[in-house]
Amino acid sequence: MVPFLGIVRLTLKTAVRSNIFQLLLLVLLVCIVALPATISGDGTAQGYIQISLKYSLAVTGFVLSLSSVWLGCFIMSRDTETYQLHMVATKSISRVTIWLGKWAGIVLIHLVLLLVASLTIYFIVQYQYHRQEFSAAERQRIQNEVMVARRVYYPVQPNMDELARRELARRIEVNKRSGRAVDESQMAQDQMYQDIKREIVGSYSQIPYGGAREWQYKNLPTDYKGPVFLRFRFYVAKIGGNEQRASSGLWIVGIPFPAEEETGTKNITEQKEIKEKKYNFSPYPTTQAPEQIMSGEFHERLLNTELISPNGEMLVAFQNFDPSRETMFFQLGDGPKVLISAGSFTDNYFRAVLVVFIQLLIMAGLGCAAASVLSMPTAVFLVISYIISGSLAVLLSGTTYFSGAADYVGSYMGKILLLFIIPLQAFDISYFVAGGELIEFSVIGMIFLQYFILRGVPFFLLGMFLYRRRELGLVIRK
Amino acid sequence: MMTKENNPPVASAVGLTKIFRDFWGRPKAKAVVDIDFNVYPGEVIGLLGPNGSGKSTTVKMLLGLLYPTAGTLSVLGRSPRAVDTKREIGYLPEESYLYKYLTASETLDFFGALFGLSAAERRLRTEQLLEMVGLSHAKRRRVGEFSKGMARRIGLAQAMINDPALLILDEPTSGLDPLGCKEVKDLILHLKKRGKTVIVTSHMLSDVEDICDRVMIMYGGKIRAEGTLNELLTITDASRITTPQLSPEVTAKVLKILRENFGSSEEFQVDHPRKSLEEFFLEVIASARRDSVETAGVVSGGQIAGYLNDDKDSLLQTLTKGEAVPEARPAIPEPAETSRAELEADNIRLKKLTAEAPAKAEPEPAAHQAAEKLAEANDKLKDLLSGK
Repeated sequence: MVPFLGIVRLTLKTAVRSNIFQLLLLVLLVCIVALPATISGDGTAQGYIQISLKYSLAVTGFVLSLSSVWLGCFIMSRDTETYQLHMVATKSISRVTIWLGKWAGIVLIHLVLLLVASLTIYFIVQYQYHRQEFSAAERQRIQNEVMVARRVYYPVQPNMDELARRELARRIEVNKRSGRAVDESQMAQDQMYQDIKREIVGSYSQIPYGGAREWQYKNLPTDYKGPVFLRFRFYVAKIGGNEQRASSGLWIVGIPFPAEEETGTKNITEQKEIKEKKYNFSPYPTTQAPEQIMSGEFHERLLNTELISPNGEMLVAFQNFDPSRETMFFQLGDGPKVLISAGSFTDNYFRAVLVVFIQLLIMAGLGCAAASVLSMPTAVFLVISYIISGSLAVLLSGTTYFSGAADYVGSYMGKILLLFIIPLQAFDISYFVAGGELIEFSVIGMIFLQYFILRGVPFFLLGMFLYRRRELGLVIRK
Repeated sequence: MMTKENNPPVASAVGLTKIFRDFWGRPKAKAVVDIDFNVYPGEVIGLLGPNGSGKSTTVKMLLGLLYPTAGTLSVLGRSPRAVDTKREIGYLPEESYLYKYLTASETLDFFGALFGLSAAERRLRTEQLLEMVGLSHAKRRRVGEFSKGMARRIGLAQAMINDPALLILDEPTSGLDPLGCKEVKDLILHLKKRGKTVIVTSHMLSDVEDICDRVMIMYGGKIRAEGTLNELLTITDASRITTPQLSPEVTAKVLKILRENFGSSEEFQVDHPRKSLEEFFLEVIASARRDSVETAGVVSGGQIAGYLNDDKDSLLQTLTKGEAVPEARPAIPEPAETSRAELEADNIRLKKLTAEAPAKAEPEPAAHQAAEKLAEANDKLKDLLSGK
């Protein structure tokens, strides 16, 4: 342990005495203080707080990630190229201990910077919240929607893949019966499948004028007494774009009541279902007339806890009354989501900091692993390429429309890359904090397991292995 | 010195070969070619050779920084790459590869930590080592600000932080003034007396000659000569007699005897023996110190670090308090036995050099006594040669 701590101390001194630490701290503080002032939000205090949380935290994570990659590459390669490592490697310390000590030192210094930056952001936000003169309603809104940690419940969705497969089989059968030629090649079948799935997803998301769509939620807490929020966003006429405008719609909530028990002799399964009491929902409009709602933006609506049935279900619906009779689109990822308070803002904020810390662990490890055998510029290039590849792989693997073979190749390549590469998007959680959404420990655990353990650690182990085997005497001194 | 018969070698190589290859695995250079050697406990071995002879490659293989292409190499009975092996090795590289932003005491503390020494032990050894190498006054200065000589000294100190059984010194006296060289050599001899094994590579052949028991001379990756200094350097077909100052008459008699025995065709030479420049230099400095002349440069190191001594109250410890350890091989006569004429000449030079310093030393009385002894010895020899 003493040798390991010696290496850690040396690494800390290297960073601090080479002025990197001071420079980084300055850059971070400038970003944290100046960034919210330069980005134009919605002009409200809530908007300012959300910008501080979202962008400042994201920039902190980005700057520290780059710094940890750079410092990892710099410290590992410089020691080797200046022969200082000779002095260390000829002492009674294993190469693996040296590697781990340097990695731990880099992580430690970035942890200090992360804590300084995140605490600064936290106290700026708290200062804004407590010191500004808000109206009671605005303060309540900030408290319910921003300075809180709310658990997210998504509506129950049908299995789109299964529906698409069934529809594909049905269409093939219909075509065969009617004597039409059917292209049974794999590429053609995949293309048809993607097309059908797009149609199904689209139809599920669309609400034509005058039509309605309902969403059911399950596993909601039944003993909850606090505010329940419904968060949604819709588009009019087309998804995205700058042509979004004010539209009209009517929200309908379902008031739960017990379903009638069925009579007659039942088998064991049916008897069990009867024992789990079922509830039906009686529709009740939230407003007497359709209300004006801006499309293309997120909105939150306060609901009554009485809408949650004793078995933890809730039903809401929306009817399209667009003045231009255009179709409305509710994208699957946009909800509508039910948000229920499950923790404090402070707790949630530091969960986000924990995710950033995991990101730093990985970035530092990648830098150290790459520089175990490569010179500094090559190592930095390799790691940056790795990070960019991960980000691109997410885009490629998300391709839903295949216009040709290149799209297929790109999509499959993206999926294969994601088995090995860590995408930076996975660590972007500042949005959740700014939106008051709880970062579940299961999500943090999944990030740690999937990216640090399953993808990062093998890379680190490879770096340690190559570092251990490296003939230091072959390096030409710089 | 421990003998070969009763102790296994500290380092042993059989058929040791190192071939450097290019990226494609093709041989590029044969740095070491099929060498065999043993280094026994308590020896001071000199590894000599011109640039590119394979010395550094051999040293790096001993340290585990390079891996042999063929042959076997063991250090302290284990692979050179084993962590346990390195626990007992100290290494001073040719140039300073220290961390420039660390202070002298931080440097020793860091390297001490790599050996798992406790904080208290590191503090103790750091103080003693800095005192020994004469850098106590600079312990809070960054190593990057050191002169070359100071950097060598701190390098030597870090090589001994773990009290190693095997010390590998690459050009240990490089960059050091003659005083520093003397101290390093004295230290090496002291370590040898304690049973340590030292491998020295150096281009300063006079330094190697002063301290080494055996030397290995490499060229082209092979060992061209190996043996003790006596074995390698003694000219067996000639003799040398050193006497006090001879009068012309005695000189003529001696030459006559030699011509009678060897014939007039042989060449005989009678001249005055010379002290080495190093010895003269050290005398000058010692005299200046006695006269308390101030200096802004490096001061001479103090006594050997306590933890490097077995017995803290030993005679050796007493002897090393501010004075040089007597040489193991006194090949050159002591200053007190030099001729009167030489002594007087030395005194004149000394006076010139120390002209501005407050004269506290008393060279004249000591020289006068020495001159008397010299005359006595001269008379005795004269009687001997004349057959009395």
